[in-house]
Amino acid sequence: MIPVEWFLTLSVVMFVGGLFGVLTQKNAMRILISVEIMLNAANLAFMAFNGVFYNADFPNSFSASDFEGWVFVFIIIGVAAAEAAIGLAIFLSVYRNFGEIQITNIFTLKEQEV
Amino acid sequence: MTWLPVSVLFLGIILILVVDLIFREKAKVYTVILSVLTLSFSSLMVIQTKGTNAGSMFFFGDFYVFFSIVGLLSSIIVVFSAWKDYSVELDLGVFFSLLLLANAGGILIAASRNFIPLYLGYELVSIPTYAMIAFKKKNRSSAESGLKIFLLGALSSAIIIYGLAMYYGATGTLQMGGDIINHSKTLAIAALVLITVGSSFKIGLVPFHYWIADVYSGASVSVVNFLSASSKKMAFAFVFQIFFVGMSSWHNSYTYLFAILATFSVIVGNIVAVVQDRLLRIIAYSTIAQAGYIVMGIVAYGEGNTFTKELAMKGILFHITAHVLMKGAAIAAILVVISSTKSDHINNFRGLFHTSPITASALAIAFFSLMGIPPAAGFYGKFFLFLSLVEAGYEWLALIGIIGSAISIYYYGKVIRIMVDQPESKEKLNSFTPINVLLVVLTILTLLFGIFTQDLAIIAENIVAQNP
Repeated sequence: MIPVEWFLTLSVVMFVGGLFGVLTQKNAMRILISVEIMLNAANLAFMAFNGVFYNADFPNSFSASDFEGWVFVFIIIGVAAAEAAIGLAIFLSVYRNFGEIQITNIFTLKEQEV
Repeated sequence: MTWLPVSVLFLGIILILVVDLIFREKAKVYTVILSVLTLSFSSLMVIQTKGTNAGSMFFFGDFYVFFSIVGLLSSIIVVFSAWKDYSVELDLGVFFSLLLLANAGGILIAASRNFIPLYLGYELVSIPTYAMIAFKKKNRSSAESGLKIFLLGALSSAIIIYGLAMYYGATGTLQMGGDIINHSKTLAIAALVLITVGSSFKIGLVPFHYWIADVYSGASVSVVNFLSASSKKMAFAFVFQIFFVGMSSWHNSYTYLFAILATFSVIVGNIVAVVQDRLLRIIAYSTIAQAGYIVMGIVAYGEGNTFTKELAMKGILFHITAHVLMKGAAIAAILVVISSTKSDHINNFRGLFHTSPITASALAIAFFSLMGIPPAAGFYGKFFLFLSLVEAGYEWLALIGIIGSAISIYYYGKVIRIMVDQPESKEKLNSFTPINVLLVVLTILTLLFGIFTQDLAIIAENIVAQNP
């Protein structure tokens, strides 16, 4: 059995990597991919934690709350898909208006000169 | 029976889409009437379903009633301003169905006692909001602000979800109010910081506030009204659920974090608003400052005993109700000016008292309320928030709040002075009767707010008693 710490380490590496991607990348699509990596890091953490918390004599006795983490993983996957769908629609709208999705070139709403 | 309010909303969404499809050009007035009816009927159903029992994942108490009704009724303001804003273009039906969908998410947030429906409700509010902001497909600034809020919203929800994973690791349950199990203090701290950072993006506290001014000045005005009056209240409901219910047994570890965030928000929000010369940007920065005041209530609630908690909850409820009224009126009035002059630059408001007395008086009274001058609504909330801070031993934070309010008098006063000046041309603004009715109703409610304080105080005491 692999200890939970290993999963958590991998999950933290994925989360920090995704955050690094969000902060450094200039292409909106790459930022969306980085966000998806962060969500998957959370999924991995949920999976690992539920492996610790669920009832040890599983087949004999269990309740719904033993699977909360695993259920949440499915819901997060669904929500991430919905979010990606709306995001791609917004990217398309931006592409039609600006001709590109490099965020450095399209961000024109700025503070006025003081 | 329990999910009647949400069912009413979904029925309304389907009806609006069908009506929009059948009547095409003539459907605008019908969709407006249908949305208002759906929203008011749904709020009636919310009152009806109070106290029903639906298992351990949900709790239909006073918190549910208050935040659902605030969300639903403030959406009526959005419906009216969208009627004016989009009266020459685009299909209103789709816009209104997105609005109702976001309200269903708000109801889900307010009723949850488990993190799974809470997170679902949070996303159900956020995703339609992204679509509403990017709604004008041909408009560059609308698309840009849509991209901005989408990227930051996706990032904040990823941070929050990782925080929830850490919460699950620290407590072993996704039910709210779990105790920290042994040897998992580190995970609890990680959960606290991640969730605070993620939700600070959404409610716009200061280190994470950069998107607010850009989105407010880029999106169309009725959507700004939704963001400021409705969607922000649902985000606050999310924060209150997590910290007041979810972390209720964590010994107030969050108060210092929120005290720092509130300090920065009030100071930066009020000072940066002074140098702005576009009214929507002033409104955006004042929203940041107002969010800071409400977060002060979270600090006092976390720190104090039952009496302080009741004071803080009263302040929070008063301020949220008042904020809906005054921000709704202010943005609707700005919408009237923008639709005539095409810009929200402060010079376009010169002489508004002479050209359009109703709009100008509504805007002025909303600003007096935002300053916190008594009989207007904004005063009660600030008064109770500062009082609860002093009771909780955070006198310095109350002082910062009062200094912030003093600064805000300058920039609101500047706008009011410009409105009293002689106008450059005597040209009348093209007025729109429903918006004028809305402005008058909101202004009267702002001035007579004192009447409702008794009922709101009882709701606040009930919420404190019902929270674990």
